[in-house]
Amino acid sequence: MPGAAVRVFWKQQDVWAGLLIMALGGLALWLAGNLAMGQAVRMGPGYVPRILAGVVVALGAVVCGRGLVAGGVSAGSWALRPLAVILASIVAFGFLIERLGLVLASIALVTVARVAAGRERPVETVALAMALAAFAAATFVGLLGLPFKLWPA
Amino acid sequence: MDLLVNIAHGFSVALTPANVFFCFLGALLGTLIGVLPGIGPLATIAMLLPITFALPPVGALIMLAGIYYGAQYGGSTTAILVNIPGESSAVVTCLDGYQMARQGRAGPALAIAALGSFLAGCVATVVIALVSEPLTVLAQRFQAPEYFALMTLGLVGSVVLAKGSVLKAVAMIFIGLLLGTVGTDVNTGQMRMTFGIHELADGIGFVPLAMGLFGIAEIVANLGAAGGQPVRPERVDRLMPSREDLRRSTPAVLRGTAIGSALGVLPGGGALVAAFAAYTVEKKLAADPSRFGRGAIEGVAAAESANNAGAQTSFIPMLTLGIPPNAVMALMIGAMAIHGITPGPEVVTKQPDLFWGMVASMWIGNLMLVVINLPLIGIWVRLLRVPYRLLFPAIMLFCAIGVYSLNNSVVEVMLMALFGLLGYVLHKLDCEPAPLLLGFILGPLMEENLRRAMLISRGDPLVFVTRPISAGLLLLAALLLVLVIVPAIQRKRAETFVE
Repeated sequence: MPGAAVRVFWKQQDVWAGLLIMALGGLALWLAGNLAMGQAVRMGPGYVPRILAGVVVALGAVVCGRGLVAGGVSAGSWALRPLAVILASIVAFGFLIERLGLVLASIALVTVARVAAGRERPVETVALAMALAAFAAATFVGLLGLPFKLWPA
Repeated sequence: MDLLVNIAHGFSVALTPANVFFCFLGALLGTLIGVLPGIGPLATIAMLLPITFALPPVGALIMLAGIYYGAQYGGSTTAILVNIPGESSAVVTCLDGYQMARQGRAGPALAIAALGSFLAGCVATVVIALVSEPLTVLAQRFQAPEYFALMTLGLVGSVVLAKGSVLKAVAMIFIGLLLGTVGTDVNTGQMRMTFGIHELADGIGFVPLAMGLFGIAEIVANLGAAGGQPVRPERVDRLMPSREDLRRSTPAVLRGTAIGSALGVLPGGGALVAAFAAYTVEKKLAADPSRFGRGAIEGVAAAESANNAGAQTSFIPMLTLGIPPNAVMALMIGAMAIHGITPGPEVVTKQPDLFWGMVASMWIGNLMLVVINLPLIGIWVRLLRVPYRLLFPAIMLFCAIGVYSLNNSVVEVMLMALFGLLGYVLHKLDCEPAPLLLGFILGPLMEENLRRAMLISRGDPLVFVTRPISAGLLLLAALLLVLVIVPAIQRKRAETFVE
C-alpha cells in the first residue's frame, strides 16, 4: 500500500531517499576529486563542486538518519514494468534515429512504449505507430524543416 | 508619459500579423496540451520548445508565453470537468469547480474561470509594465554580491513552495546546484565531472533534464497508478453565468487578482500559493463559509483569477532581474538562452521590442484565450476523452524528437531517459523535482557571482553582509527559512505529543 506506515527500516522511504542523495553526492565528490580547490579569493574549478557535493552527502545522511530514527512511510509499489519499457523505448529511439532515420525510430519508440500500457492491442499499436511517425515526419521535417534523416540511407 | 509610450510600442510589436499568429498558436497549443491530463505547463513548454526554434526571438518568446498561460487555462478546464488538476495551481480550482460541475453548473464555472482569468491577466499585465521600470533601475546597481544574495533568496523561496519535507527540498536544491556545475569551468576551461563525454562540455542540457524529470517520470507514474483509465468529463450545458453568479464572483475576482499579482512577484511565490491564499481569504470573508467545497462560485473565481495573476507577475523577476521565481520561469530562462537572450536589466533597456512586445502580447493572448476556451469548450471536452494509452506514446515521441532536435545529439536523448529514471525514483521517494531544476538553472550563475564577489573582496566573505542590498536580501532569505522551518518543528512536536 502506498504511503503506509512501516516499521522495518529498509522499507522506509526516507532511508532510501537519504541513501540516494548520499550516493549522488558521493559520486560527485569522487568525480571532482582531481579538480583543484584553489583558495576562497581565487577559486579553482573544484572549489564549488566539492563543497556542494559535501553538503549533499551531509544532507543525505541527515535525511537517512531521520528516516531510521523517526520511522516513516513506505515508498509503495514500484511500476517496474512501465519504467523499464518506457526507458527502453527512449533508448531504442536514440539508438535508431541516426542509423535508420526518423520514421523507423518513431515507429520503434511507439511500438515499444505501448507494451507498457499492458493489454496488447496489436492493430491499434501498428496504426498508432504509423500515424504518429507520419505526423512527426510531416511536422518536424516537412513543416519546420529540421535537418533529420527520414529513412535508412 | 514614458509608460504609455512603451506600452504603445509594445502593442505595435505584438500586433504585427506574424506575432499575433505566434501568440494565437502558442495559446492554442498551450490549451491543447494543458487540457490533456498528466502534462503540466512545465512539460508542455519543454515539449513545444523545438517548435519555436525556427522563429525570430520576439516571436518565439511571445509564443512560449502563450503556451504557458494557455496551459494554465487548460489546466483549469480539466480541474472543473474531471477533478484532475492539469497542473499544481489548479488544485484549488478542483475544490469548488468540480462540485459545481457535478451539480450541472460546469458552464458557469468555466465561464467565470475564463473571465476571471482574463481580468486578472489584464491587471497583471499593467502591473508588469508599472513595476518593471523601477526594478530595472534598482537592478542596474546590483553587483556580484547582490546577485548572489538574490539567487539565494530565490532558492529559499522554492523551499517554501515544495510540498513535504523541507530537508529533502533543500537536498534537491543542492543536487540541482551540483548538476549545474557539470561541464567546462568558465574561469579555467577545465572539464568538470563529465565522464569524458564531450557532449557534456557545455554542461547538462536543461531540456533533457526537465523533460526527463517532469515529462517521462510523470508518464511512468501515471502508468504505474493504473493510469489510462478513460475519464468521464461532466456535461457542459449552458455557459452563461446567472446574475447572481456574477454578483458573487466580481468581488472575489478583484481580490483574487490583487492577491495573485502581489504573491506572483515574490521568489518562490507564483500561481499555487496565490490560489491558496485567495481561496482562504474568500472563505474567511464569506457570510456562509460552509458553502465552500460544495460548489461556491466565489471559490472558483478567486482561485482562478489569483493563479492567473500570479503566473503572469512571476515574469517580473525573471525578465527584469534574470532570476526565475519558480521552475516554469527557470525553463523560460533556458528557452531564452537558446534564442541567445540573457534575461536581466539589459533586456528591458536594450531590447525594448522584446520586452514590451512580450508584455503587450500577454494581454492579447489573454483575450484570445477567452475566445479559444469558451466557444470551443466542446472540442476540449472531446479531447479529454482520448484514452491515455493513445496519448502517452505521442507525448513520449514528441519529447524524444524535441530533445534530439536541440543539438542533433543522441547523448541528450539518452540523458533524458536517465533523468526520467531519476525523476521516477525521486517521485516514489517523495522528493520534489522542482527545487532541483531551479537549483540547476541558478547554479552556474551563482557560482560565477560568488567567485566574482570573492575576487572583488579579496576573499573576505563579509562582503555579502557589509553591502546593504545584499545584506537585506540575505536577511529576508534567513527569515523565510526560519518561517518554513518553525511550523515544521511545531508539527513534529504535535506528532510526538500524540504518541
